[in-house]
Amino acid sequence: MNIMNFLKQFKLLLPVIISLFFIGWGSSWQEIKKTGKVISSVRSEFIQKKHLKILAKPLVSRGKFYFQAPKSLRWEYTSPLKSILLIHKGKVRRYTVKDKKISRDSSAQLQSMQVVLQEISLWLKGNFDANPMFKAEIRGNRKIVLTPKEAGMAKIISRIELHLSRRPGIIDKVKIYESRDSYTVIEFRKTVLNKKISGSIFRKI
Amino acid sequence: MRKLVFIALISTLSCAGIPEIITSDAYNEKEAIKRCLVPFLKNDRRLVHSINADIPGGAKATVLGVVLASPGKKYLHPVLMTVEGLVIFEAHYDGKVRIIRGIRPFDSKSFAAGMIDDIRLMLFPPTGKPALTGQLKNGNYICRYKNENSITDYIALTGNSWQIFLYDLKGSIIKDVRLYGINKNSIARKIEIFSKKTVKYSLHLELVREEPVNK
Repeated sequence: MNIMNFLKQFKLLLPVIISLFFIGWGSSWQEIKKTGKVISSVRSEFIQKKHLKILAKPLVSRGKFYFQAPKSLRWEYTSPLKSILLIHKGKVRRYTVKDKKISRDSSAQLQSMQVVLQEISLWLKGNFDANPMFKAEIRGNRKIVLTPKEAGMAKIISRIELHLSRRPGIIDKVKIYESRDSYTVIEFRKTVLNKKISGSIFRKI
Repeated sequence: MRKLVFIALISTLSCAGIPEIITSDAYNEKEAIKRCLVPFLKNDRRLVHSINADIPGGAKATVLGVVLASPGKKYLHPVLMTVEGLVIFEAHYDGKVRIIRGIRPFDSKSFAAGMIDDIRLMLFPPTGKPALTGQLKNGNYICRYKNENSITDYIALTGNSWQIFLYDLKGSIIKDVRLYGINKNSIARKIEIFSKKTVKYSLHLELVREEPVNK
């Protein structure tokens, strides 16, 4: 699998994660899908911890994200570096801010993000079991496990675990496993649903 | 005889762009070498950097780099990952490069070899004795090392900064490395690498975290 396909498929994970905010709890996909229609926006802070065998302690990144249905997203890292991914009105842009200087990531793979948004409406309805990339299973109490269907993707990401909050519509954390020793945990906090988000959040850096 | 040939070679190269090295009665060789080698690891360390890359074709990318480095064993274990935390490259180096994980195009041997060369250049001190040491016209200490393929100048600048020039034997610059803000563990707060030949790129590294490797 080459880097463009990989990054395209990884970025497809973002709507998976985000759209899970739209689900309430149930023990079946039918129940999950029922609550999928009521969420129009999400804002949240996150702490990302990268675990690697080479690291004595995880590498911690912090950030925040905003999502406005149907197709606007801001995924922003605030530390250890400032990086912002913006998806709005069909345009995908990524920026890094360093020493107060803004630099635009011009890598070609951003163009593949256009495809991402076409999948969001599917996931927003909670149709994870219809997701062509991942096999989805509900396991135990408030946990969904996604396993890649494609062998190439499975060599890169072995599985994704979604841990759902007791509060309906909220995700506590996402774990993305590359291997047993290499995984990323994203914990969400201060999540707010259905509060109006200004359009400038998705336009301005 | 070899020394004479080398001095002649260096003199020729001075015309090509390699700076002239001046020695004087006041010059202290031991002090020069000590100054030249300040910004290189003395002990095993684990380093994390943010890396902004300007790559061929005008593209820009930002990644995170982790490296476990042992200057004594000449061992490196580098990892590159996206900002989101997904590993795109991982390798071992102990004299030979072994790729553990690489997502195309980061799975190529040439990429891995080039990356290891860059890390060695910016973290490990040169081996052996310098062929020539002295000062530049501006008074900065300089140490020149030579092997069969290249010449490397290590220059102690003012303001807690250092510069490394890697030349080919014709005196053309292959790499220009700048290190800024060296801390008490001999680790630079900021590093810039400019590759001038074959594949032109620049890397701007900022230190996120550094720690000793506990045995």
